[in-house]
Amino acid sequence: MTDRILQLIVATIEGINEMREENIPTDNIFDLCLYGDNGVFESMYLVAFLSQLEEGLEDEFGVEVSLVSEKAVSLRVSPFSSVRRLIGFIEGELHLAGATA
Amino acid sequence: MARSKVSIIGGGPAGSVAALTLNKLGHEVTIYERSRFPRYRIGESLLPGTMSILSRLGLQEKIEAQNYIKKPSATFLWGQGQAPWTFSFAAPKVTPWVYGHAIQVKREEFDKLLLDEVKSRGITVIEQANVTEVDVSRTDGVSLTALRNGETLHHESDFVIDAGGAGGPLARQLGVRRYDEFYKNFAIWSYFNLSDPFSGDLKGTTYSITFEDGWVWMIPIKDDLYSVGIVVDRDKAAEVRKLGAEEFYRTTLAKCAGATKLLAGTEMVDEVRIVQDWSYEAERFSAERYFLCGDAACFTDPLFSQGVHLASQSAVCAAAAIDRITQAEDEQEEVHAWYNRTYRAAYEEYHEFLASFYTYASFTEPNSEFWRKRRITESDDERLSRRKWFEKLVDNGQEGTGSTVPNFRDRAATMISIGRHQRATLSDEFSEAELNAARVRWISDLTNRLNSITRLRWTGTKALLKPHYRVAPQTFRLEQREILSNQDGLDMAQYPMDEQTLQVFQELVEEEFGYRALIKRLRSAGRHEISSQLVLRLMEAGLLTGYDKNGDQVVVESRLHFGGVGVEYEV
Repeated sequence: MTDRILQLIVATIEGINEMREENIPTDNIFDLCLYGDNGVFESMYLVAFLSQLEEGLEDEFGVEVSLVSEKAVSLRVSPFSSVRRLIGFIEGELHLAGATA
Repeated sequence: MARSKVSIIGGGPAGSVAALTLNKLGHEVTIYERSRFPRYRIGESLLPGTMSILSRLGLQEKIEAQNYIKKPSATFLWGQGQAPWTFSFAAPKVTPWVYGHAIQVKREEFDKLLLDEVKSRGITVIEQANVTEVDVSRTDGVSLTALRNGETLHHESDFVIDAGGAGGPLARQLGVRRYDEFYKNFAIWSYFNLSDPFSGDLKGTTYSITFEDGWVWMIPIKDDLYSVGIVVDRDKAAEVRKLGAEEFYRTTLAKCAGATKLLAGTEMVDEVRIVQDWSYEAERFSAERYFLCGDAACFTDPLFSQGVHLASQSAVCAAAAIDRITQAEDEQEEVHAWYNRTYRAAYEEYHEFLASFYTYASFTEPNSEFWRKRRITESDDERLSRRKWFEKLVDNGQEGTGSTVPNFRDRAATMISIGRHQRATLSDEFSEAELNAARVRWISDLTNRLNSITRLRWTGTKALLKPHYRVAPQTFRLEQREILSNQDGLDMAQYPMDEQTLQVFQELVEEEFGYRALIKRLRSAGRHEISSQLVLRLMEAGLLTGYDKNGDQVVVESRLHFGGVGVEYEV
């Protein structure tokens, strides 16, 4: 499951990179900070990224996952502070939704 | 008689940036500057957008060598009993020319650096030359007369840029300046020997602090020197005459507890200065052979430190416009229309945000006459009758949609809630990271609202492309671009469009669909990263309206930034 989520995230970022002057680095992807100090997304761009990723997850796993739920924003450490944390959050949500690996 | 392609009146930031841009575009320029540099100026706090322009003009190394104080943010003590809040400039570098900070400068040094750079690039600068007359009546060129050491100078050029500041001779000669009825303020200021009181993430920030008579700015400009200014109602002028400037300044400043706390144990180290005529704009910013830039064109309340940014942005736009007209004379009318629209939109955006912050403070300073007078509650507020943004706000109220006059303060409230510190007073413990939770919550709310849109309605019967212009960020050429519009001319100018994106919106006109479906189609059209931003800008422009599954309109407050900060620069 982790690999499939990671692939989705990388594919979404690579799509964005095609249009960017300064590419988002994907070589150390797990530690990549999406939002916050040294984050790669400005707030509005994060909105677009999350919309695309939610859609990709629905296509891939057949369940709706909200990346901006109250649970997501209430976490002490934001799921957007690193790709690793985002994957962990998504995995938890997919398990709850009964998605299969 | 001297001659050059373009004559520029004034060697401040607007004049210097215009000259540097025109020079980069290959045009011969002469600057006439009234003073001899260095000369004193107020307006010491810059915005990241100015850094971006100067960097692209090749000044990055010279600016870095000056070790100016780095300005990471602006911090506000905006009302009685309110926790401080910080507007951070931090921004991801989506393009090489996006800056996440600005600088604080002594303007006499900064302006001289710019003008010296102009000279070093071979541009003629005639200092101590007072322009007395500008003849713009001819269609084939401009004549300029200046006095220098008792000698009369005549100059012929194809175009003239008035970058002469508030005293801009052409702006005054044309009689196009209109004074603002809303910001009827004046500023009085001096300097204090104060070392930055905070380390950490507050270091270098500009403080703006409300009190009963108005608001105070505190800007660290060098070593242990702070610029401390007060913005008060113009009615206070009589008190200044009675008490004298210094006594008025000292007694008024003493009323601002937030400022006096920071200034405890410090000394005033310079004279007290005053500037009147605090807010104005020209009816038109350019026509035929002339362009007004910077303070010669417009000026408003300095709360957001936008003065030098508007100056440099308008200078780049004017230079690019002149270059374009030179290449394609038949486009003159369209290019002027673009300049006027772009510059006025930038100015109005600040005007609107400022009005929102003033309205907000009228609630957090409830016993203050100054703030009460600046509250916007009525849709027939005559002080704002010339404002497009206000007309739109009033119209929204009538249609029952979006932002309205009664909830106008919410615009500031949203921004304030996102930047609010976790403790009641300024402290070294403040960290920008503590703002992330509120930002993420705001992003979450916005995303949820957008996701709830199951039907998007296009205003009108057609989605079209219409010609517009945009300054290319690296070459500074004014390039023709197409923007999205409907059949009535209602458009969204922030993002250039192409046929593929147009197709998506033509599909939307034919068969209304929801936000998620639109995002998916925009992604297929290659609009990955800005898809949400496009939707929001189109909603803001009135071209799109979103409805949820119950048929209720979904209203979004999508603006966290204004011009010159963030990742979207106009030039």
